[in-house]
Amino acid sequence: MLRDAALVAGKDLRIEMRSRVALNQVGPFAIAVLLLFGLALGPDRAVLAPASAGLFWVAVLLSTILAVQRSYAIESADAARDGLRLSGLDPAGIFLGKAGAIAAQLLVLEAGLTVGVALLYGAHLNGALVLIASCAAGTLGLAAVGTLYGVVASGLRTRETLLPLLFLPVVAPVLLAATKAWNEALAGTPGRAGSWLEILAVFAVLYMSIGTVAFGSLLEDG
Amino acid sequence: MSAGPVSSRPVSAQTRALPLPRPPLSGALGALGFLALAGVVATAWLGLFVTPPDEFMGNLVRLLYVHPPMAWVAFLAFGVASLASLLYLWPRTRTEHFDRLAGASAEVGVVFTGLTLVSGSIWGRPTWGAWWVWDPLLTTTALLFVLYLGYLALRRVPGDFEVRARRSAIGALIAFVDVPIVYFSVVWWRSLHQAPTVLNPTTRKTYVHGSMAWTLLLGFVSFTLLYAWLTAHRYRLAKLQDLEDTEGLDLALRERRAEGDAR
Amino acid sequence: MNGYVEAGYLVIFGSLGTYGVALLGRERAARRRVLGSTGAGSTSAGSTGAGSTGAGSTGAGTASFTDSGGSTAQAGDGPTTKPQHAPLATEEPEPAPGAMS
Repeated sequence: MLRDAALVAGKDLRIEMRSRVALNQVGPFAIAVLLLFGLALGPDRAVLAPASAGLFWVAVLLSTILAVQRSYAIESADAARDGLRLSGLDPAGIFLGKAGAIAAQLLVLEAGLTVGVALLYGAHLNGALVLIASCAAGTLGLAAVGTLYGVVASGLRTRETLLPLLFLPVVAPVLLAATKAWNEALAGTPGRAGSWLEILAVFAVLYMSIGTVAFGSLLEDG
Repeated sequence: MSAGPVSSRPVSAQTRALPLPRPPLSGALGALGFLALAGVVATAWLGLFVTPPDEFMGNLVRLLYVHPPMAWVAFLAFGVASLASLLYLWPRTRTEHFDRLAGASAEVGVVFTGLTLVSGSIWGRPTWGAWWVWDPLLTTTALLFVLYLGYLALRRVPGDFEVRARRSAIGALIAFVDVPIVYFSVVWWRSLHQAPTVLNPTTRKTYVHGSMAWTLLLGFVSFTLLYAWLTAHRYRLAKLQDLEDTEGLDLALRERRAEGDAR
Repeated sequence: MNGYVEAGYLVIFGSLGTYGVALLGRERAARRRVLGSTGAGSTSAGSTGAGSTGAGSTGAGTASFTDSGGSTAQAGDGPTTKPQHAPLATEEPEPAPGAMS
């Protein structure tokens, strides 16, 4: 299973490195989101800086949707599921591989967004350890749910609207907990982020497990 | 063009000869409906006219005879849908009934969830001065609402019956598992702030007095009965729609076959 | 304050009542359609729109509507489709799955 996972993840990441779609499209999308938030909430840093964590994570959530769609689009257009199914790889491995690749891309994106948030909103990046930990745990959870729902939506005409509708409500706790963790870190009290990090960890483990088990039957359908 | 063992009976006689039997349990369902209706009407009447105003909340307490029961039903319906989905996924109990039940319960549930939010909001406006506050339970209910909507959207995605059922069931479980996480994180989230919850609608410390307590209890019972009745009918509707689809299919097949025979 | 309570009750019971009545109506209509839908070419299954059955189906369009389940119903107790219509199922010509694919 793990070998298949590495295979799939490697393939996805290699495709990304060659085509650079995530870099060229999802990245700028995320930056655009940050800018739009800036426009919406006004130039006053007194408003933006405290909101940095939340805005950061909303941008991450929205970018995840794009990353997931991209991840499935690189399989053969509308026959994504067939291609994966016929490859003969262990479905659990495919899940872990895809989720892993998405997570990796998201982490890179988050690094960029962190810089963006510091720059645009004047956030002071304290508590780096908590920031990183919450990114790691949160991203894993996001990638897991995204990969799961992504396979369901792939190959459907309604995928562009169905995926966000399914995905966003489920990952609401990630948004909440990660934002809180970041807030504690940025405010200089990283010690208080403990329970939030717990939630992120539980979420990640839970949905990674569900994905490993359920991905196979979702892959078979359609 | 595969012919196969074509029935010797003429096509129309084939279906006409078998009228749909009166659906099972119609009598019981009618009785349930009557009870539910009676209970709900009684709750409304008691709630509006008979019970006294609360010493703190005044007349607003009357909304609290319906809001918590509906919230309870919202979560109950979701639980039933999730349980039915789980049973569907379990090979030994995999019948179409559970898939249909899940769908029926979800649709009824989304109605109750929406109404829970509306009643909570209406109660909140004079109490807290705002149409919405980020009360833990209200927020969780709001997220539940959207989770429901996503699930219902997933059910509508076209496909083979078994494919749809299994996919929806997994979707239901993903959402179901999420609800406790949502609840706990929102509760923690709120507890950090000075919550303007004058009175958490679920702690009914003021409901000590006779008629109020009974009315509330009646509310819970009758709304649950109402939920059961609505879900049963929604289930029936789903079954009829499945039948319709199958008949439509049979019809098309017969037409196709007739076409072939005519050549 | 009273206005809120009345409005609330109206909205709640009104909505529930409307939903219940509409549900009964849909059910009655569906039953009528199924009972009467013999040669009338009624492939209008999807007309009631939303519902747990998803897209309305005509033979051409849908993925095989579980007649694979129907054939197991022959073998015994099909756990999936149409166990109620035992009379109908026995009459159903079995090439349906073959015809579909």
